[in-house]
Amino acid sequence: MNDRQPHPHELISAMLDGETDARERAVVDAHLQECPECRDLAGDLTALGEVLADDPVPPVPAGLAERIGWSLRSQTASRRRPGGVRWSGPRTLAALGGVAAAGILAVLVVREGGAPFLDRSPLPPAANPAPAENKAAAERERDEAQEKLKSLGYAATGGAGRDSATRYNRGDGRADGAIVVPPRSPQAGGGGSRMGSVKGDILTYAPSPTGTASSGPLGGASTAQAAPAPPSPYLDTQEEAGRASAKTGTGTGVTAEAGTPAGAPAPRERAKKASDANALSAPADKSEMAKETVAEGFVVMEKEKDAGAGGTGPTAKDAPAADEEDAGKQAVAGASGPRSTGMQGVVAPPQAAPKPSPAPDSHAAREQAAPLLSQKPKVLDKDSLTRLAIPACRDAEGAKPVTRWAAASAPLLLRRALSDAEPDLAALAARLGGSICEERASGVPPLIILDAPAARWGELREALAVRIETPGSLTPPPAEGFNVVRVVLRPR
Amino acid sequence: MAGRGILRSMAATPAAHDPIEGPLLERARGGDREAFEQLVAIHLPRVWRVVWRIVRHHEDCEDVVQEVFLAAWQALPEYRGEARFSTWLHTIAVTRSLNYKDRAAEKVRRASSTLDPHADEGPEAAIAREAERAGARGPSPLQSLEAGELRRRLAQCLEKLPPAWRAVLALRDGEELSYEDISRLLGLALGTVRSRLARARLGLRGCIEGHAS
Repeated sequence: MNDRQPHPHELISAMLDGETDARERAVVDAHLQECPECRDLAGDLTALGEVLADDPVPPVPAGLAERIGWSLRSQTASRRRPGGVRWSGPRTLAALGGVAAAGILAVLVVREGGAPFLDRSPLPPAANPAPAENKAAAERERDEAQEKLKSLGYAATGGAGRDSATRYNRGDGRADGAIVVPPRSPQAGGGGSRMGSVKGDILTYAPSPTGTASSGPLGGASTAQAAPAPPSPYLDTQEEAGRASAKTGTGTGVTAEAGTPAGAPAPRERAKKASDANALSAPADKSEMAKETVAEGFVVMEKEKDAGAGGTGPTAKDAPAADEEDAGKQAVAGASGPRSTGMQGVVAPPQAAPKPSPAPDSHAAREQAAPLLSQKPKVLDKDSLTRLAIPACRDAEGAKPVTRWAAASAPLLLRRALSDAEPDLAALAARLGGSICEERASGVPPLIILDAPAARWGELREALAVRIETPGSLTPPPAEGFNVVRVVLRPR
Repeated sequence: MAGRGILRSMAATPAAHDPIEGPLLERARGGDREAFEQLVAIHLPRVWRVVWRIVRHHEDCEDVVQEVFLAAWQALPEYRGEARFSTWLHTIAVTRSLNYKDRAAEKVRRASSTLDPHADEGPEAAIAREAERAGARGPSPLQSLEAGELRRRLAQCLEKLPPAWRAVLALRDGEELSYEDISRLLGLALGTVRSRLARARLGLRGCIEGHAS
């Protein structure tokens, strides 16, 4: 090391970069001849520069450009409103995903807990436990369901003589933000119902109408009657219609759950479960067609009461023919209590002789089967977040099977009146080859449901981004499996 | 870090836009988001590379890259084309990366202290120590390292390097920008760029050899 002059580190570094002038190079050269340490340094820096130049950079993550595009759109939308929130960044997306996942989990928990508004996969008959075991198992399930519901903040409410509506409310009775849509044409003795849930702004669940049953004047406390239903607006696919026809063709008037072979008796525990579920349920007031309930961000659309129900007795709706006796007992025993809603995907057997189903032909069979079919859960399959069972805006009669992806339930921007928004949205839907429909229910604001071909999701998303308050909530459909994408729009 | 004066340095450079990029830029400046998204697609790989070399963390890098393009989109109406768009984007990328690292200052401080127990005394003293160490040692361990091991240690040491030093290294050794370009892009004096690069390299060398010893 040369003690008489400092080491020209900067100059050496710059010289290796070719960023020195002639005079500086001369200085460095002279120094390097005398200083072995600096020669080492020059060698090291050269090696370092080569390694740095080859320092591997991971490839741009797949989809990053798309996510940036999303962020840009969200930003554009939020810039148009004061206090808008920007949805960007993988962590934000992860957080949103977490919220959605938590929602799904909550639904699953309730579902697995035997909540009456969700179906369960039926066990094959061979796997059904013995009746005695059934009872114990059903009681265990009931207890578990109660615990789970309690843990979710629900309190069972209900009263004697209530009708078939089922409500789960928080203990404080709060109900906010949920949306309940009644059937378009409620009929006496038979009510389609639909329910769906909104978790945050994402529709996560959309089950189903109940089976038809009537009580009171028509059937008395222990009479359930299979009544014709309007053409099901809830059918998601023609295949389901076909299955429905097959099922109703059994003539039992009783519908097995989805997946249950036509005519096969549903497991006894299912009837019991329905009864148990009723113990947790809280029927709505009779005057209500539909109500909204909310629990911690997820909303359950519930059924309306039977329009023609005049009786106060409960009606068991969830018993296979083989379990008629049980079901009848339950119905009688529950004469002063709530009755099953059938939302469990179970249908009460008629205590009186059920009307034979018409031949499984076409429209009539489908009409009759519609409310039953829609009990099949459309959600929570592994590969898709959700499917909706609420009706198509445009009757898909004869059309190819429709599988819908629920993009979101989103509030319209700036509290825009629905009447103002509707023509605009109708034009948008028409442009995209879709359609809108309006849903009205007493006591809740009307909604606009916009269906569009899933293939035009990008255009739909972009167009909606400037019309709704939460464009970030629009969830793109998977690449395959859905041919219609649906957004439910609501005023604030 | 906020006072880097980076954008200030952009005014003097005449713009020379790519024939494809130019029309897109014009449209984007007029508020055409789709045009801007095409620009994003063009520049994403390079912006990603620059940000990665400074941030060196995958998720952070994604965040910053998104920030960069969002900031660019917001600032686009004010972009008057004095500098090339890519340079302008680089500026935003480096600034955002450094700001991001600033926000994670605690992490950086912890890393720096790991790198150098004398971190409080400033880089000059560190350089002096490196020089002393260089004088006291034998043949360079850095050059004797196997290539894979050298890369591994380099990656570790780069993470410990102050982000501002990392930025100049990224632009010089990664993007092969000239000192003048770096100076303009970062709003630094030419001499500062030179000295910062030298410090960064010496710091890296010391770190790698520290691992080696």
